[in-house]
Amino acid sequence: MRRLTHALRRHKAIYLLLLPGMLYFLLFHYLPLAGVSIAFMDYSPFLGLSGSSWIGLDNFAKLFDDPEFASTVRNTLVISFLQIAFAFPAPILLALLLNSLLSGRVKRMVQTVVYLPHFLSWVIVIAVWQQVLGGAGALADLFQQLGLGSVNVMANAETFKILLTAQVIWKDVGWGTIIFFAAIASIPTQLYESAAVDGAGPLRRTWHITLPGILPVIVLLLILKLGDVLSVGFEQILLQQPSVGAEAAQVLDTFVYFRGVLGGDWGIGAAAGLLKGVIGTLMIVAANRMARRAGSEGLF
Amino acid sequence: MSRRAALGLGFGVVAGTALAGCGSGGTRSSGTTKAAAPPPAYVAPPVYPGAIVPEVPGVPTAYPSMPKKLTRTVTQTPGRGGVVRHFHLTWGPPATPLADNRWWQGLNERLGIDFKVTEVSAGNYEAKFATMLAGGDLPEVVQLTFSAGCLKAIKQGAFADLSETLSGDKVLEYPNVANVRTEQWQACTINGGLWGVPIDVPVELLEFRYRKDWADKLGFAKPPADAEETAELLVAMTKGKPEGSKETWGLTAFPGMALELAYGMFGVPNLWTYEGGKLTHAIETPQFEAAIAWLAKLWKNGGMHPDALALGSQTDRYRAFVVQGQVGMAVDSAANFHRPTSQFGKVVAELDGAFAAFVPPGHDGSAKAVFRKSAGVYGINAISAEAAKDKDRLAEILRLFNWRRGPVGSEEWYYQGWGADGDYFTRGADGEPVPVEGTNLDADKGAIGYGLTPQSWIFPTAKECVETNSQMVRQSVASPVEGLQSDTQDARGAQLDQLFATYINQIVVGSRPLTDIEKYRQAWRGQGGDQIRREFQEQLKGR
Repeated sequence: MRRLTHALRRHKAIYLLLLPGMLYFLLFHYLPLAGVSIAFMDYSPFLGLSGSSWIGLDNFAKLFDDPEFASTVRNTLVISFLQIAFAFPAPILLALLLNSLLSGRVKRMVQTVVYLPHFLSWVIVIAVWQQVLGGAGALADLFQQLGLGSVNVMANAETFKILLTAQVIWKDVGWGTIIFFAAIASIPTQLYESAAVDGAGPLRRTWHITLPGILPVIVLLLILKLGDVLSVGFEQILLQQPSVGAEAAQVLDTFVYFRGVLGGDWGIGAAAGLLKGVIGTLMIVAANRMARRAGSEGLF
Repeated sequence: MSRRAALGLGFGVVAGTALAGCGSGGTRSSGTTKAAAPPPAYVAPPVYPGAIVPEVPGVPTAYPSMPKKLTRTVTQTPGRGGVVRHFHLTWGPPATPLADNRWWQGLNERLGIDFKVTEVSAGNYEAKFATMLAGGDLPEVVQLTFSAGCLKAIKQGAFADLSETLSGDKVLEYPNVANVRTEQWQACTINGGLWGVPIDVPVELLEFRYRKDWADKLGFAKPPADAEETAELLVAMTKGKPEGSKETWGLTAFPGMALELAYGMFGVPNLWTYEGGKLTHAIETPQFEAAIAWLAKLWKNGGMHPDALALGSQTDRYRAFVVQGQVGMAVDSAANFHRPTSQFGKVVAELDGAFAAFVPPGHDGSAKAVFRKSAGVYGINAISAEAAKDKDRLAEILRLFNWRRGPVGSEEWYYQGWGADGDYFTRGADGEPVPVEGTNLDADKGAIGYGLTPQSWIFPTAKECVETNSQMVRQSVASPVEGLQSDTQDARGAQLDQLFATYINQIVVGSRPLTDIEKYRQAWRGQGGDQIRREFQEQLKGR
């Protein structure tokens, strides 16, 4: 404590600079946390926080009683697993691949092209996919011409989760490479030179120099990603729900939307959201501890 | 978008999509508790020479041309000069800002207030409404839908109960408001209170159209006579290449048009049937099963667009197919087909009679199709309870409503539709408004004028429109739970609609067997259906 007061006195100006940032977090991230109390209330926006009645854990009980809740959690976890298993490593692979390109111009051009889909909204991305993979899309046309019957990848409930993951990869793989590129750029080039002198081929150099070099960044991002394990996207899934049905496409976020916003039951929505937050926090802490135990620096 | 959402577009802009999406939700219900005060008295709106007055109640009065002489129904400026805030529904871009908006400026002048408006897009309504309530300071006038959130707010006293203020002859103080039909007032009565002035829509908003030229080419000289022939025609429209190399489809969107058509032909009840003290939901009937079986077969035979499920919620794309002449059958609001300046009206004019109106046949050719009618209310123009505490303020707002409800043929009505003479339209010698080059009234109006103007059908084909609509209304039934209320329905409606998508959408496209209808029914009963039935039945017995 004394050290802190001492430091405060000595570096007044520097600490003063912290203030706006702290104020921002306080105002926009910590104060709204009070809204968590909605999860324990029969909340009515008209009556407000002070006028609504407390109902303890009823909302959570209702949540677990909901016939759809189990399948919602299952869907969320499956999609999340697919995203971590496939969408997470995809930008790493792409970054390594692009990194091995020799021509700087080609590299920059490819980078620009793969960044682009990130800036499209989901509505547009899905419309584009519909044109290609939908029942009247290019793929369906091709199948028809080859006499293979009809195909509609966009409306297949069984493969829907794979489709979602593929869309996420297509949209964000390029954007995701940015951070890995930065990490790769920070690896000293003499390491590669000496490895090459020692006779290491390109694959060996990637395996023994590039990958270990960017490992801390990968671990960091993975930990952050695990904190989001129950957020698998909202718009993207909501837009495609009519085609495949809620059984295949109800995830926690859409569940909250239907119960809370459309059903007017804000308490249940807040309860589900709170649960999501708690699990996310636990995941981050657990993943961080594991990473530290495995010898990496971890997040905190 | 639900049928309700589509119904809301009767005035001006028009929707056309998943009109019948809800397997469970649907038209509005209101309170059972009998209000102590009598409902507001009804005074029929004035009729001008040339009017086509329908015999069937709920079909709007129509005019083949603009009434020659406009009458003024409000002599004194209704407002007292202050700000009046409004929370309005919209389906389009917001209005042009006041400074560059002659129509809005003129409206302020005529109403004698500073008209402030928050335009809320219909898709975003629930969230915006809750935010507004949470903010605590309600606008004086709020357009309510019948969603769970709105009903909760009504019950908790956010809005003013007008049942006393407007009861019986007291409504005559606001003569234009007295043009609202009694059944419409009933639809705005919830928990014994009257919560505002209805947003007026025709009791049967829709009209069916089909490509007669294609049908002729494909060997169907007459409109289809039963469900089977309808399916054959739809398949032929898809596979028979009536436009040569251009791709065409019989139907393009599900649920939307497809469900509306099948429900009509097979006579699926309007939400519920009530017999012997017991309610049966539409989805529990054999008619429903037959309709879904017909749709599944139609899908299998290729009578629908392969992306129909996705198109069900992609209004713009679905509508574009109609405009591009790639759709064999379509359903939309009658006015949108008949108004020569509207999106589909232009298509109808261009095809010169080939895009013909028809009333779908009964499924076996002998019985007639059965349609579903509503009370003719899309939502409620409610007044905040806070504002209504001040009697003078309440009277002022009601005077504003009275002005805005100016009947067809009144100066107030004309201003809201076409603006001051010369600003956007000039009335020609025959009384017809001629647009002024370079002006766009729709853009200026935004949603400011939405919600109170009475339904008006004014187009050259008014007679045909009234005839077709009257026939459909004659063949339509009201829901037995119209005017009743179920808390479970309000809270679980969205969830039950989702079940419909999970099961029925998938059955129609063949991903689930038809026998899964039983699973759907069970899930529906378990997730609130039975509870809703109990709540409604109790009220029906109490009647």
